[in-house]
Amino acid sequence: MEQVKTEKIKNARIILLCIWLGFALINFGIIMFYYFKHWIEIDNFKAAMTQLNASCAPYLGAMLFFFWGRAKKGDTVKTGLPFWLAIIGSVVWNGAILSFILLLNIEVAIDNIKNIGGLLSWLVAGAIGYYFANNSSS
Amino acid sequence: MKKGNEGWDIRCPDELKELFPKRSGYYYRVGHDIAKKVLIILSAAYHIPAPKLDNIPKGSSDYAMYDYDTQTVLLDNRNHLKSVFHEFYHHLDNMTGGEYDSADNAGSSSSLSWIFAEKLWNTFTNKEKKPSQKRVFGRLMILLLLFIFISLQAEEPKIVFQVNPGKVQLGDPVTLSWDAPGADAVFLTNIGRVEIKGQLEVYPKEKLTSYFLIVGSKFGLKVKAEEVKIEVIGGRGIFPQKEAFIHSWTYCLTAPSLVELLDCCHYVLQNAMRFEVDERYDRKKTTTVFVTGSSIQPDMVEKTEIHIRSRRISYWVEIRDNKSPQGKFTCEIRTFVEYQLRMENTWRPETSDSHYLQGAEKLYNLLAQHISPGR
Repeated sequence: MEQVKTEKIKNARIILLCIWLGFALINFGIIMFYYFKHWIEIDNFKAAMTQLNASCAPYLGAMLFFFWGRAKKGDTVKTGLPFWLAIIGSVVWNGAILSFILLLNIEVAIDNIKNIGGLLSWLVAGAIGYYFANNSSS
Repeated sequence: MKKGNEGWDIRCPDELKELFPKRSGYYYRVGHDIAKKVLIILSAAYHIPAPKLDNIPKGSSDYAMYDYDTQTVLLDNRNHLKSVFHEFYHHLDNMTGGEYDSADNAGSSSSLSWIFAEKLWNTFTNKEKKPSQKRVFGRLMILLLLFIFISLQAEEPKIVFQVNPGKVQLGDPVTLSWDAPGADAVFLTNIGRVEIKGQLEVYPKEKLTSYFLIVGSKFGLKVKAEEVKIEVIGGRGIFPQKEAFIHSWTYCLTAPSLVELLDCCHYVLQNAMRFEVDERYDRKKTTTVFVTGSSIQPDMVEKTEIHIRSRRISYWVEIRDNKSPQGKFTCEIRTFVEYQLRMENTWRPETSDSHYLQGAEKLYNLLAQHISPGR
């Protein structure tokens, strides 16, 4: 039973990492598409990349750091409601950023991403910290 | 028969003058050969047969004579040219049936024959101006006097142009009142063509708004401008500065008057193209300047330019009063074009010259199309 639970926890971390990494790649890809299609100029391209990076780098950094440097066999974390809250929070956060980039002009999108970082950081910071920064939360 | 010397037609052909290259300052003494040529030339000029020429009988007290019966001019060996003219006069009178009234006396110096000779001599030596020249000169003098008289009559309009109050909050009205007695047409900047006397309530938006009253006086000779400045507290600044307008093109527009052209430009920019327009008058350059805010022009984006969301243009138009009698005015059109990329809000200056020219051509065509007295 304990073995099965560990596997689930491992999957939860990977799922979260995939969500964050997937959204980050899509968002960066869209910005690059805009730039190479000449839909935005270099100044806005740089500003958008910088802002996007500032929005996801702390969380992605923590995740990657966990897997590369701190992950140990046999780490256990609780599943259930906290896991789903983390998933929902991550999807809302990254989905909001993606929708800004897709639907708004780049300057407005950059401004909104900046704002959402200040307003909703608590939504993801706690969950990411719970799963990736705390390895003794069993 | 003509009485006296009225209506005399004095003819001196160039051929005669060419016989005597130096024709002023002294009398020519001529022999028979030259005298004969002179008589032939003069006769041809009057379309009469040339007289015969013979020596005057010896012992005669006269130096020259004319025989009416044989139509012969009798001359001494060397005679004054004026004497030849004198005798030709008699021959002319003889041939024209007494039209030159030569029977007035016996040939004293005050006789008509000498008057004829004198007149012909003056024409010959260019002392007497041609009647046609006299007429042209006289007419020019009359025209000049008439022009001076009319100019004095058409007194310069005394313009009264006032604003009340001179300082307002944004949104408050300002009353402009003007009177330009004697004016032919009046143009009020930012308003358009107005009556010679009037009053108007305006709501200025710019921080420092200027209104100019441009008055065309009679015959379009005078254009005057008066300025009032209104300080609008909280007013905005929406019009680009002149430095933004790098590209410029100069056109020539023909209009009945300057006021008509200004009114047309005001109409086209504000009503036809829907621009916000700021109008001013440059006293130093004597030009009227129209500056517009920016306005999006859908026709400036081609279907193939999918990366461009929109382009907008603003104009700087300077109309110079050339005082040309043909009603031709120099019109300098400056354009400032900006574009917006598909995923951006930022307006960026257009780099392609063709869009600047396209904008200028569009305005010029509209101006040329709208300039008509009947609009």
